[in-house]
Amino acid sequence: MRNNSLHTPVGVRDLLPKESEIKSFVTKKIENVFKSYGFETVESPEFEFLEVFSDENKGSTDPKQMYKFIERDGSTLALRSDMTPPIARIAATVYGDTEDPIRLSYFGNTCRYYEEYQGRARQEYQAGIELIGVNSVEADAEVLVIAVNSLLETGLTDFNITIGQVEFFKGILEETNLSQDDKRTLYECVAQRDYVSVEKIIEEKNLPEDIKEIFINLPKMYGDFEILEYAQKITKNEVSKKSIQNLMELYKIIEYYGYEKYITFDLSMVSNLNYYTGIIFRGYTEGIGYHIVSGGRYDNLVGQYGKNKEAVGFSLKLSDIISLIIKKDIEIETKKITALICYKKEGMKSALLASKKFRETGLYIENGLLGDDLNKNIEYAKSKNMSHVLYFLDDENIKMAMLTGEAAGTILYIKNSDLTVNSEGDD
Amino acid sequence: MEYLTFALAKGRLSEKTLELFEKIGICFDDMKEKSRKLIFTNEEYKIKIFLSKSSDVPTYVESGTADIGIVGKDTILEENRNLYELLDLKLGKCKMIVAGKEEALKILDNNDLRVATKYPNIAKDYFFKQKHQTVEIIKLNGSVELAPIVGLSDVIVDIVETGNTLIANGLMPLADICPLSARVVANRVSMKTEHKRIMDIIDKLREVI
Repeated sequence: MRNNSLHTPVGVRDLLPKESEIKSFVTKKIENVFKSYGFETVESPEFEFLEVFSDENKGSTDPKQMYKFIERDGSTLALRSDMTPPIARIAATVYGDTEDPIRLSYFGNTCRYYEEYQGRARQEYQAGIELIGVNSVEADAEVLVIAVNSLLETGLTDFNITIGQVEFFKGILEETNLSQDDKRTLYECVAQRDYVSVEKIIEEKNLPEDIKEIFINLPKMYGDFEILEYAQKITKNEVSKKSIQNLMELYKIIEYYGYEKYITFDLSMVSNLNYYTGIIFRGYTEGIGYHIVSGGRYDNLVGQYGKNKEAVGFSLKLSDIISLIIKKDIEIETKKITALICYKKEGMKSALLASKKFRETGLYIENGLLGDDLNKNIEYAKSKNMSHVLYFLDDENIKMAMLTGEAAGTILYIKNSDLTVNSEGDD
Repeated sequence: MEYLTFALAKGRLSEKTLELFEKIGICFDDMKEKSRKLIFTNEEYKIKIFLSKSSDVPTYVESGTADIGIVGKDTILEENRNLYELLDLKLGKCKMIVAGKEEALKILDNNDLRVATKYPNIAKDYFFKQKHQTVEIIKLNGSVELAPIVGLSDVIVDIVETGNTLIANGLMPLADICPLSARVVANRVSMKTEHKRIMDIIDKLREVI
C-alpha cells in the first residue's frame, strides 16, 4: 500500500525552525514598515467563493490554477489564489463610507495549482498593501516607495523595480485603425511577450511607418529616465503622452526619497490581468527567475463590490524572499536560547522560580527534562549551542557550567541568593 | 560581468545556430574539439552555452538557469511557459499539420475523431479552442505516423518538413495548423538585468538572418 502520510503533496512543504524563524523576522520587519506609513493589517479567509478569484473583472485567476471544492449547499469554493480581490471586497463593504484614503495591509498564504514538474511552489506566503480611495501620482509613489523600503528592510540590496503604464500601450493600440479583434490579438501577444508574432501582425497589416517603428521597438522601451523622454518624443496620441507624463512625475517623487537607483521603466509592460488601469510594476532580484514584487493601479476593482474607489497596491512574494535570505546567508538578528536550567529534586522549586524570573527579563531559558544527571544535561545544552547550564542542587546551592567563551568547561559553585538576574542581552 | 547563459536545443538546429553566432563574431572554439564537455564558453563576450533536449530548453529559460534559449516554435507552443519570444531565426522551417489517410478527410470534423500526437497541448488548442471540436487525443512519444496505419487513431498532429515520411507511409496532409521555425526566447528577469547585452545580440542576429 502507498504510504502518503510520510511526505507532503507536491508543491507544499514544511517550514523547519530556521526558515520559520526567518519568516517571522521578515514578517515583523515588513509589518513595521507598513505600520510606519499608517497601514493597518486585515485578514481575509483562506477560502472563498470561486467567483471572488475567477471573475474576469475581479480576480482573473485561471480556474485551472485554483484549488476548488464544493460547499455543502452546492456552491463552489476556492482556496485563496490572490490577496487583492478580498481586500477590495473589505474596502467596499466595511470601509464604504469611511473617509478616504484607506490604508490596508495583509500577510497570508495564496495557493495556486502550477503544472507538475516545473519546480514551482503551490503555496506562497505573501505580504502587501493597498492604498484605496485616491488616484494620484503621490499615491502611486507612496506605494512604490514602501515596496523599496520593505525590500531594503529584509536585507536585500540588489533588486530592481520595473515600472510600466498600461495606458501607454492602450493609447498606441487606439492610434492604429485595426479591428477590435486584431487589437485584442496584438494586446495578447505583447502581454505574452511574443514579439515574433507582434512583428508578423504589424507587417501584414500595413501600418504607418512611425507606428510600426514603435511596435518593433517595444522590447527596447526599457531603461532609465531617458526612455521616458524618448517615448515622449515618438508618441503622438494624447493617452500615451499623458501616461508618460504620469511616469515622469512619479520618478521625480521617488527621487525625493533617494530611491531612484532601484527603479527602471518598461513601457512594453502590459498585464494579462484585466484589473490594472494605470501604473504597473514588478520587482526582480538576482537569483530568482520570477518576480518577487508585483503591483499597480486598479481603479475598477473595488467598484465591482458596489462602491467605486480607486486603488493602488502591491504584493511581495515573501516565500521566495525567505529562500533567498537563506541561500545568500544574509545576517538576521535572532535570539538564542541562553541557558538550560536543571535540578535535583531538592532544588526543583528554586530552579523553576529562577527560570521564571529569567524569562521575565527577556532571556530564553529551557527547562532540563533529562533528570538530574548533570553530564547528560551539559551534553544536551552543548548540542543546542547554549552558553550556560545552571544545576540546582537544593534551594540554595547551584553548580553553573560555562559552555562558551574563554571560561568554557569550567564549573562554578554559586549561591541562589547571589544569582542576579541581568537585563536582556548582557551575559 | 556575469556570464550570459544560452540553452540550445540539441541537434541540427544547434549547429545552424552556432553558424549564426560565428557570423556575428561569437565563436566557441572548445566546441569543435571532440570532447565530453557539456558547457562551452566564450571569454571575450562572457557567454556560456549548453546543449539540452529541445523540450527542456523552455524549462531552463523560464527558471532563469539560462538567460536565453534557442528552440523550435513547436516546443514553445507545447510547453507554454512564461518567456519572452524575441526573434524568429527562420531556421528549421516546417509546419505543424493534421495528417492521415485520405479517407480520414471525410471524418475530420467529427467529434469522435481520434488524434495521436507528441504534442497534446498544440492538438488540444487547435481542435478545442480554434475549431471548437471535441476530439480524443492520444499522446505518443515517437513514430507517430504508425498510429493511423495500425488503427490507434484516425489522424495525427505532427511536424512535417518535406512530407516524404508521410507519403512513404501512405499518409497525406489534411490541414495546416501553423508554420514553425526556430526562435530566440529569453527569461523575464534576464530581460531586465541584462537588457542591453541581450538586445545587442538580438540586433546583430537580426542582421545576419
